[in-house]
Amino acid sequence: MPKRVILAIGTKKGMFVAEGASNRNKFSLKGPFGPGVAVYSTLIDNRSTPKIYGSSCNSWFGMKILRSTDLGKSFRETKSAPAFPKDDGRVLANIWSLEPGAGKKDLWCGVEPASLFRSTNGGDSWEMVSGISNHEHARKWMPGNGGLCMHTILRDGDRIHLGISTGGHYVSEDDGSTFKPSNTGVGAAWSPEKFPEFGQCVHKIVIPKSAPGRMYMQNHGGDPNHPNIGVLRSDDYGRSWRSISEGLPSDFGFPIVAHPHDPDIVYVMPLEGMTRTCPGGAPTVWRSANGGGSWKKLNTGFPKKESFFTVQRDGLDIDDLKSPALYFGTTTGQLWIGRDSGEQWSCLFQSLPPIHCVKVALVE
Amino acid sequence: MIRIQIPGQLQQYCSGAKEISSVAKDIQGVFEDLENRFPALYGCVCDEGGNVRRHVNVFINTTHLRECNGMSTSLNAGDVVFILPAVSGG
Repeated sequence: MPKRVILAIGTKKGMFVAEGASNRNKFSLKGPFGPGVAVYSTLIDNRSTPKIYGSSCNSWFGMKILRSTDLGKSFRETKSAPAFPKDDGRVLANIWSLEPGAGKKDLWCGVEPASLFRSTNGGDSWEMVSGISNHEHARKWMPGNGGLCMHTILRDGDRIHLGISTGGHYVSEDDGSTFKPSNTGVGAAWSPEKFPEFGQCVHKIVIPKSAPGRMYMQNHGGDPNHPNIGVLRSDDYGRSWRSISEGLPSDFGFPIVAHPHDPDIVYVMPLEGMTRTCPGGAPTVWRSANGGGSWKKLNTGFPKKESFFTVQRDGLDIDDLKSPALYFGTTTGQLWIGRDSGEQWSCLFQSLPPIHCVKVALVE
Repeated sequence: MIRIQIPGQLQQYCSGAKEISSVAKDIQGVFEDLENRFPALYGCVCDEGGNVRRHVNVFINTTHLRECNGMSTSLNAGDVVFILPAVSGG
């Protein structure tokens, strides 16, 4: 069967699923699922029979995990959602990340207040990962405007990277039993100590698929007094980081994605630091083809003015077809596709609810 | 017997029932009863710390729980406990 492209779109008013052929000419839309409830994280798990997950962050009745086993025709709640132990004192406020684990039914989940949960049965039960959730730093992390969220979970064998805002970058080398901060070179402009051991406002981290030692980070930049702390690169599994923001119009932004076939190609979407909107009202994705050494603007098809939206940390993704396309959702409810590796942009859906996250995957 | 009115959004967590009954003597007992019999429903009403969720309102007859004696508010036969989502939007 030819591959199809599936998009799992989390919005302020529920989850949508878009589907298109691998030529990506047209997409159909289903949803909203979990209607009226914000979805901050989605996952298309195609390790075996494809499943789509979404975090339904219900302000009234608490957090739920939605799961579809029919590629987004229908969703049901899993038997339970992550929850802190009764005597912990913390209360789950949001679910920010869902990632597949090592086993076929293993899932990882990052939540607010920043903690990690793990499921071994596809989300029907969850156990808190105490190595990071009860880390000696955990009660010292401070919430940013978006809350104290664990938004990035990256797995590379037994090595697990976490991104916490504001907590910084943490790494486990033992499959999640213990974690250490790993923020050498990661700045925190608002902190008395500009390069602290931990406490940075990391926005997103990505590992190129073909080079696990290489990592890219969108950190909280945008401070004219402390330039070049926003877009960073590591070549040693995240042990140290250096700036690659030279040539960008702003080092502030939320998402960062890596090309699926070339670890030197990375994409960011710079925003103005004060407004967190497109610089000059002109949306532009920037691509580096040399690991951040230089940047090229990609704006063919975008409005040239009067567009002041935000793309949130999980609002940009890239498929892994031979000539990949990028996809991003905006806080104004537009879903854009950048065909030919972002050379040509067009709007797939004009008027969805405000979009929090977009994930793409190919399924048979 | 105490009657507990369940809002439409939560009836899926108690086999579709609009109302369930309890022999609890106080509000604490009502919530313990819910937790034992309908844990998913209880999780929608109370957080993992055991507190009523911020945007859920509980009334005993026509009086809001916050105007009563908290979890130890006593109940009498025939009382009706309403569980209602707060009005909100945007």
